[in-house]
Amino acid sequence: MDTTRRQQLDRLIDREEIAPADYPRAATLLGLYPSLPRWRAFLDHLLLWLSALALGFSVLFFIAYNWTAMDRIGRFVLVELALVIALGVYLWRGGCGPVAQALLFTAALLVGGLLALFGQTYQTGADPWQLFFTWSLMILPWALIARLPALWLLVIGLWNIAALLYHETFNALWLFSGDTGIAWGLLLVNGLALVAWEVSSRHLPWLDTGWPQRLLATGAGMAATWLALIDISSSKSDGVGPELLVYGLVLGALYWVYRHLKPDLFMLAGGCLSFIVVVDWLFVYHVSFQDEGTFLLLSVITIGLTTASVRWLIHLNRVLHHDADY
Amino acid sequence: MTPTTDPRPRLREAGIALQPASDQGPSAPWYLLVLQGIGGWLSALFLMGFVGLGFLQALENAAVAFVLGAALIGGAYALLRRPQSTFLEQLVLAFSLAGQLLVAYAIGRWIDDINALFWVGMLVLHTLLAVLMASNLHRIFSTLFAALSLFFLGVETGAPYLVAPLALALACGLWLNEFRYPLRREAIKSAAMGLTLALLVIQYLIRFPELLDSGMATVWVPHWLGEWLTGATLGYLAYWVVKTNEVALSSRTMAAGVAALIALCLSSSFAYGLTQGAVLFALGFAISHRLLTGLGIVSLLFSISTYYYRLDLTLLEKSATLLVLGLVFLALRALLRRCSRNLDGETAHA
Repeated sequence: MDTTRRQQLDRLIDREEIAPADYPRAATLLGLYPSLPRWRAFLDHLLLWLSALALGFSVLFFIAYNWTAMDRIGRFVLVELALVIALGVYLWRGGCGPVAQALLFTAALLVGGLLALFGQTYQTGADPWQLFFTWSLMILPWALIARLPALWLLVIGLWNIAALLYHETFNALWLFSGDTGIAWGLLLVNGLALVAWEVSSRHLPWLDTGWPQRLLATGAGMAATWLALIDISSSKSDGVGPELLVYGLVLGALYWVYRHLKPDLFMLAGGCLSFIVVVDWLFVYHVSFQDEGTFLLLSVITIGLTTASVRWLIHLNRVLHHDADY
Repeated sequence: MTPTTDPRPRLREAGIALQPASDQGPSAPWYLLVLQGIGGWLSALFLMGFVGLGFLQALENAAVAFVLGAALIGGAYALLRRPQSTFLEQLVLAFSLAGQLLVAYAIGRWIDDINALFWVGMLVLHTLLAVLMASNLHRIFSTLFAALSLFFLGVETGAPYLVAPLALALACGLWLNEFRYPLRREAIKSAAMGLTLALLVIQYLIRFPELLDSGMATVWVPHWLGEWLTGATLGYLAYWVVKTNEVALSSRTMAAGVAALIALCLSSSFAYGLTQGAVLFALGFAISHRLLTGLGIVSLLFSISTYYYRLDLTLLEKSATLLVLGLVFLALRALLRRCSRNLDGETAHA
């Protein structure tokens, strides 16, 4: 397990190995405060990304304004020119390095602007979901070659938005209709993306940065929890419905993968939180609230479940740290 | 960038005497605090339901609600003076949050309005709790609520755009000085985290113009002043970095730095919080705090969507602001690269 500078220092402080008076010196010695060369590299990257994003969004906002003083051709030329410049510099840089990556990401944003401009100009009558889905398909080849996690997240984010808008338009999503349709859709999109990400990251180390998996797991977990809540609150829930069954399977899979295969406390903490919410919801829907004692019981149950979860996770944290101390 | 070697030999070599390790486990990661916090809130809401139903008649009287709320907070305070456990901390949080809701209800009924005076009361209450309650989780909540009370006070008094920059400056000051008072480090970190979270919540709240218009006073503090204050915080951060790295700057480099900061302030005058995320991101890097860096990215992404939906600027004006900001960032990058060699020379002489 990798430990950052701050984690190393916190660990020493937690175990009372350093006297409080030595904290500031230890922080400096362990490199908690970056040196000037590290600052230079950081600012170089930060300013590059900020400028790329600001200029990209500037073009998008300009298109959204629909400025009538500029004619149709002029607007197309503006977006396409920006796109060509971004891609040209990407190719000129050989597709490597931060400049190339930042510009490819900006180009991916500009593709969305171009599609929006196309729909705005020719009144294609297309539903908004088609715009986002087409956008994701058009930038998919770039995501495949760019080795940039943020670009993959943009693609998956666009799939999420397209699914939401599709459901809004047709009140159904592929095989799923009604209230649960969108929750099923988001669970599938984010769940499959998470599985694919975890499997791929075993062979492609640049994908294994940690935070994208956590983001995808949050999306999938929220959708699964939502399904369980809908199942509990629907009238048919005298027995266990398919939604609650799938929720149980998701929770079980989460435990198996992130406790045994690839320990990750964040994922387990998310599972615990979801479980607490679902148990509370079960009580809310199946207990009478005429008696104030019910509220007290629910409060006690929530405190008990949270305490048990936190204790278990703290124990696991201790075990994992013991397995990989420094 | 992620050292995995034992840091102890390096510390010993530098003359730091290491004590034998205690069997204290590692401190809880941030997401366990989130789990505890949400669990605490849910418990507090159910507890409020119990108190509300059980004392329905009595709560008609604001004084009874106040006394009951104060008793719950007092009980939580007393519990925290005992040796702490996870269960106790969870219980304290539920008691205290329910007590705070009751006290807020009582003050609201006394004043018969939710106005500036109400938010002054909330600010005082939460600030006191942030100081007195000996629990990191509670301190995060109290500081967050104190900052939000200050924001609503700002809305009521016509100065909402000052609150986020002020919270950012305070958070920056606390994060950069977390080791200055070693025995108070945990309290400082909790307060700083509460303020950082408040920044994100305020960023969300500012999305609703009707909320800003709901205050009694018209907005008299211009929004650009808030952006300039954010710039000043960035200036403080830059000064801190220079001081920490013991660099003696030449007057020419210093002048270039000040000019760059002024250019950034001027170009972000109509950016409505866009630069806040960048400052948080840089702050996270300055102290090697990954969570803070992540929150900076969240703030950046959040601010661009909030900015899109603002109604007081046209999309053309927003596009122009972003264009200018993008060009200023590029110019700053070029300036940085040019200054690098000079700075190297100055460091060597220092």
